[in-house]
Amino acid sequence: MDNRDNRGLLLAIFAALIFLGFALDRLGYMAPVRLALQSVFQPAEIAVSGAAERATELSQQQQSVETLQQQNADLQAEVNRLLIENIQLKELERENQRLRELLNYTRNNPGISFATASVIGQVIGNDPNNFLYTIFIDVGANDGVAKDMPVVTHRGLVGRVTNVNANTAEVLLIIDPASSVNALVQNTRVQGIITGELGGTLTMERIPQGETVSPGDLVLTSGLGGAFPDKLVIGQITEVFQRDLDLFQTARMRATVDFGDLSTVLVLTAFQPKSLETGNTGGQN
Amino acid sequence: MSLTPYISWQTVHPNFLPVAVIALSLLKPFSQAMGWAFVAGVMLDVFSGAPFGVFTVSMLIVAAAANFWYDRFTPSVIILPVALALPYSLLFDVVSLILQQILGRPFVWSGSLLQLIFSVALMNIPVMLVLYPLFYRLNRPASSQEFTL
Repeated sequence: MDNRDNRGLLLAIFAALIFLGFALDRLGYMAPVRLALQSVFQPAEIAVSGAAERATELSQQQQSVETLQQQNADLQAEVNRLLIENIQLKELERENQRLRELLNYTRNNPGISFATASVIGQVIGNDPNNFLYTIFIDVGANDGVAKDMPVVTHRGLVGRVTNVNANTAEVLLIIDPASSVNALVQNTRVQGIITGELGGTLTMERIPQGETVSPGDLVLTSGLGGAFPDKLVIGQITEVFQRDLDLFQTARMRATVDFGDLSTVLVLTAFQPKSLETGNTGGQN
Repeated sequence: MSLTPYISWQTVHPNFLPVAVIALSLLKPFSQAMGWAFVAGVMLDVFSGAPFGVFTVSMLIVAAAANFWYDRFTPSVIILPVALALPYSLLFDVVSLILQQILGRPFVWSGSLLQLIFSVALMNIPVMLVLYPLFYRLNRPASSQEFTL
């Protein structure tokens, strides 16, 4: 089998199969195949994920520093809670101020009830490649999840649903380079676009020259474009790059969500993403 | 996929499948090595969000490169497979990224990206230490040498 002719034939067969798969993928026919295969493996994934989680919990319980870890976790949770509360209070204060200043203030409120219009999903897998930031969750179309719905945790925005199966969904994280989110800086209301970078960092682009953006500023979703609700926490600016020759400023950010430790997420099922191109729901930013 | 959150470090995790293919390519003849590479690549393509074919092509290229060493070293000695884990992991990641970029995936070749690629390749070395002896034992004829360093 290992002579030159057979090698050539083998490679030709592989090339033909890859080309066929690629063509089907481009035409959109591979998505059902992928989802079907993912459905087949879903029970195994859930089982493995659950077993790994239990094993992790057991090993942690046996550690002598358990008490310290607990205290640390409690304090961290408290810090997160206070951070979110602080942001919400600031947002409320600003909104109140704006309402008082503008008598004819009207706001197009989609009327989202985050408490009731959401489903909780357990993360059952990550993308097998290090350079694609997607996760798989154990809720799907049967739970009311649809494509492009925003996904959050108590710490902020996680991403959006990109593929939905009956019982699973694929979520593109905001740290992926293919993701973009319209955002604004909380203090100055300066707007920009958040994109991911390989390595898991976030960049805020298209910040107009002359606007003041500083390290430490909190960044929220702006709601522009209709792909995400407004006021979802994204992260904190760590570094600002400003050059007079450039049209825009750029800032590097740290996400509030710990993407290395995602276990439970919330899909905002009541939020209907809008597409500016089609005028219908279900679009992207 | 399901275990990656538990074995990753700062969102980076080792790539088991490329390491397995490299190990098999060192132990198996060309046609078998390419067969395993094809199967592993298709699995990655199916379970990944990348355009179909990216990982299959990358895997075949790495398998063909690694198979150069087939029958050219003593398979019972692990030094060469471990030494090759780093460069071939780098090759796999770089080829797959180039293919993704050609197919329109937006990212910038920055220092942090190169650091990420290198971190993944470094994490693959201990995986080779585990997988290669396993494959060697499954592959070796009864009369061959015991595994040594």
